[in-house]
Amino acid sequence: MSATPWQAALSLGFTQRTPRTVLSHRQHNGPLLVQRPFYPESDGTAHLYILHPPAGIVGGDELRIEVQLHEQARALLTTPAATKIYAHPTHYAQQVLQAEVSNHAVFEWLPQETIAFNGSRCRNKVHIDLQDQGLFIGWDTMCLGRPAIAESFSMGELCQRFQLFHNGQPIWLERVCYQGDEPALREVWGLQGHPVFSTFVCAMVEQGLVSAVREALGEVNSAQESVAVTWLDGVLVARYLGEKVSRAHQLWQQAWAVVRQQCLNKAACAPRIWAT
Amino acid sequence: MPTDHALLHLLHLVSPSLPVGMFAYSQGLETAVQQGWIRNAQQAATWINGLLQHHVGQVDLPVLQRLYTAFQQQDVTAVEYWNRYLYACRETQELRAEEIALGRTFARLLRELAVPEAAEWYQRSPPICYASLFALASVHWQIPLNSCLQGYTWSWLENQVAAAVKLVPLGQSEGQTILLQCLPRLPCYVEQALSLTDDEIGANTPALAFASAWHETQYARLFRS
Repeated sequence: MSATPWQAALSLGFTQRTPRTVLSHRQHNGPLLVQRPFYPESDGTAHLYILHPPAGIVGGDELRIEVQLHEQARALLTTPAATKIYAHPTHYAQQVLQAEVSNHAVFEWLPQETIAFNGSRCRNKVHIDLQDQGLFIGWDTMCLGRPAIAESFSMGELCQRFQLFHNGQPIWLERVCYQGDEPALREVWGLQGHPVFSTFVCAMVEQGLVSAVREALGEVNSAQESVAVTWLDGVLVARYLGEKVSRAHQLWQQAWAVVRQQCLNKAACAPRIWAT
Repeated sequence: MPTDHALLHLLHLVSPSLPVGMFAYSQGLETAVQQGWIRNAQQAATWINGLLQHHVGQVDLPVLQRLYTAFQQQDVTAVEYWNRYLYACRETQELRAEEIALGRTFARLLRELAVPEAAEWYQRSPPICYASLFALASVHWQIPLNSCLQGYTWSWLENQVAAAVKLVPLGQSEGQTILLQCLPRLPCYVEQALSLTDDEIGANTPALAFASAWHETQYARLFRS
């Protein structure tokens, strides 16, 4: 447990300077860092890894990432490792991603999961502001407890908020909050005993994308896992509920490939770090 | 004996014969049955009570309360804000389509019943939600806030039980038993809803989002959601 809370903040700005998107603004406080962008794609999309060397946070800590994409800019952000939230009896850890995506900009947010250790308290927020033809593709994955070592989430709290705005108006708002051991973790109307829940989101997109994504994901529903796709006035939302983070991300990569092909007319280009 | 006009108006608003067409919507219950999640009265009661407390109680009711206050204060900006907020909270395309269809029918009905503000909200973009109009009608007929919230909850509950009776299927008296089991809890859910801050609004019922999204492609359907 850290003696003094960490307030880590990272602010990034991306500008299109043909033929590529450059990292035109970078400011950080505390242990949140980025390396230099990679350019593995011919359209100049900047691939950037966000590093958080401590790898975990505890009650009182805050990780805040702000991203701004100017017109036409294209950036893909990912993280090399899961964020672990350690137990704390009283204080909340906070994790915030706030992004502004200008007209014709493309922001891809494809982070590793957040693991809420038993007894941890955490508030997560993803807030996306899209302008006009801005495009967001992203996912967000939560794991309650550590199923690999049979640790369930019997104490603590995890709140997860997803907010998507288009031209200043809310299009999709979601907020879930789970207390350790509460009925919502087990009951049929809740998580049905599954420790992993994940959401894949793209906006603003045409409704036609829904059937393409449903087809790419295939028939996956079983006692172990469920996937459902819907379309909310320009926002494609796919939800996963199951046992394994790796499985959720495998499915989302299938969906991501289809979305990239249909919306950007290019193939998926998995960040190299995912293979390590 | 004095006449309780507010009570009579509330009974009118929550009557299943109010022609807004709510009976056509199961809100995921049809899929929950098809998935085998609900096979008997006890499981139906668990599903309905779970959604009542963690969906209606954590989204519809706190927003309904804010809409009621906004109409009471004739604060159009706040009405628009909370109406849009509620619509943005709806998790699936079908739940949104339901909101739009019910809202439109309810707005037309209220206009014909000479509720003056209803005309303004008819055919708006973004669409007016059913709950927003329920707040408007409650304020118009001077139904107290608590009764408005309890009436809305009762109306939702009765509709869900009717859907369960048809879909599971259940006997009529089994359905009535679920209603009676849930009844004493309604005031607690309303009280809980009234204590929520803006930041705490949000449902804890992921299975509803799955069931409702699957319903969009379900082959055989009796209900529209």
